[in-house]
Amino acid sequence: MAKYSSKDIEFFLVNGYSIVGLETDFEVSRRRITRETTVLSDTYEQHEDVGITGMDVSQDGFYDDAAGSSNAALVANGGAEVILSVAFEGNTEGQKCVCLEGPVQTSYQRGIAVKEFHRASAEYMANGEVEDCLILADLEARVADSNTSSQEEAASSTSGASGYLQVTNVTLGGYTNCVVKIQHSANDIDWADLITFTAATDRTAERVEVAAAITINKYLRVLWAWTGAGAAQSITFMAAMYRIPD
Amino acid sequence: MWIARTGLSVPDGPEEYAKQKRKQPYRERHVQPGERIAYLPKGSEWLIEQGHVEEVNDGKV
Repeated sequence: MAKYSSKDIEFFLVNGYSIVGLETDFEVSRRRITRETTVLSDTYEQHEDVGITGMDVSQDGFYDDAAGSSNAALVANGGAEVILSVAFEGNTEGQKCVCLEGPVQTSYQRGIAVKEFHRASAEYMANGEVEDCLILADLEARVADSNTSSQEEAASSTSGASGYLQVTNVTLGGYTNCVVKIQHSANDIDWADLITFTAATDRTAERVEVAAAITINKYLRVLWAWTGAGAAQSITFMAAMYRIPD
Repeated sequence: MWIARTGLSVPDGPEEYAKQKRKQPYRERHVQPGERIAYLPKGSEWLIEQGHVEEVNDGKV
């Protein structure tokens, strides 16, 4: 058990835009939807769970019109599903981060007040789950083909999973693209591809599901490989996975 | 011999497997689906059980 604070929010990614340096508030609320079932003769009000979990997400921060900053990240997403990832426990492989399954951005507000910096805030409505993911590749720049250290989870599973990729920058240096994969292993020696994300050529974000019934082994890692030939290539990305418990 | 049914990363021969066991830097071989694999180290039965590779010719090259 450990306590965390705002200093541990080391990445805040919206569709591949890294805006942690501008955000001041972020809130994710999960709520169970209930309906009143009070009837005649009841002495006390009654409510019953209808079996649906809702989610409300909001973020608030400073307005910045620089390329790749908060305005660019939020202004064009009205009504669109976004991929949002926040590191609650630091930007460290093996730690948890929260990733949201395609919430729909319903608003983008620019707040202006005397003697204040302009604000930029957004709100989202649920369109799926809030997934507490394991960071398999922390957010950092990577160059030549390689892989991360493996992460050992408690056990294998067969109930499915979701993998998230957030690419904040790609310098191709002549290469065609960079392919990022999540691999799994039963023995930490041989590795099989579990998720292959769409080849990245620029800033991008993607969520890929692994179907139930497929065995997902206990060891996980991320591998990246450049396609083609070139020099001085670089890709900055974060990859994480949520394993649905059996 | 084995045929890969999934993209794989495996030690590139017995020496590389031994290096991996000693946690020394070693070279992996990346295999695409349909490619042949001549060497699989001990403990790799899970690849066959889960359908990531298919054994052909009784495992002989």
